[in-house]
Amino acid sequence: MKLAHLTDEERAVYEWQMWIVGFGEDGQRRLKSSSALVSRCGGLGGPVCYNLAAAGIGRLVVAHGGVVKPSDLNRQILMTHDGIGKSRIESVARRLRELNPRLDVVAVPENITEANVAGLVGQVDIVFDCAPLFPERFGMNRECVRQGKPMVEAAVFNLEAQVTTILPGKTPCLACLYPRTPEQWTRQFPVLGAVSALAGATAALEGIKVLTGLGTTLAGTLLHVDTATMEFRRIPIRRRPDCPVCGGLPT
Amino acid sequence: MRVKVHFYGQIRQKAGVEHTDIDLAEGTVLRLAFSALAARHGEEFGRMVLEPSGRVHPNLICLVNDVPATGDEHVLKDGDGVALFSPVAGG
Repeated sequence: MKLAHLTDEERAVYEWQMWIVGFGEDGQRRLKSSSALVSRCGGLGGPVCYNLAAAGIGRLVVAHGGVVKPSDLNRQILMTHDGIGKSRIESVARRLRELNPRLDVVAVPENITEANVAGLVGQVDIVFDCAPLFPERFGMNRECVRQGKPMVEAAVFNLEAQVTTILPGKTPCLACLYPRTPEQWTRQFPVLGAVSALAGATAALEGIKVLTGLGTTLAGTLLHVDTATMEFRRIPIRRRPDCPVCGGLPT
Repeated sequence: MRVKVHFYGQIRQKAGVEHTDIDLAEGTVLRLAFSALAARHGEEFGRMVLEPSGRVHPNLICLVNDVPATGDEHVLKDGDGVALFSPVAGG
């Protein structure tokens, strides 16, 4: 991959993170040369977008339908009170451009569907799955496996956060983790914004590691955090040879 | 023998408690322990831990003493700690 060069302004903005051993100017150039799709930019996806934008990713494709509701504001940090009743994705794009005017933001005013998933996944280097509904998540998973794109999987419930990184053919995919559609899952669930932010920031960090080669990712490991007790668990997860989504890929 | 079970994710809501102790016969396997839990915590809970066939639900992540369980027939021991994680999504 031919890496983008940094401007003097970018060197000034990213100076502190380029001091990180193993990241440096090369990591920054890799990040600037990278693109990501974030599916839904609410409690989870908002912090993902914000941290990727702040870190200097080159291009963000953000997908989220609907308008801002009062009940979004306990956790959706890219939405604001004066945006209630207005487009969520316009608020997302505006806030991200305010943070990082160098960022190329592609705002998609709809959620991921079977009709748009292939085109959206095809535009980017990595995908962040932050959707609240499993059919949307499984659709993204199938497409990422089909196109061989890494997907960072983030989720929250109550005071719990969990994150894993899916590398098609190398790690379990979402259908390995959950072979059946969870029939009792509902669109609305209990969550505190700080928990979503923890999961979102962790997911963004995972993405930065995948894109730049920094550190070690959560590939093959499900990180589960119970913030009620601050217990962090690393749960090893395995591919299912009979997985209908990724079982046919060589190991 | 007595086993302690912790619930995480939506299954905690179905159980109505964060954790519980359950008394089981020596040598009880995981599948039968879940049956006993299902009898205690109700139908919706039961559908999250067992499939209609009686097998452990494949969506359930189950750790015994912080190590992934070896399968439906994993034999439990007195004092074991079981952690159950049901699927969660985002938002």
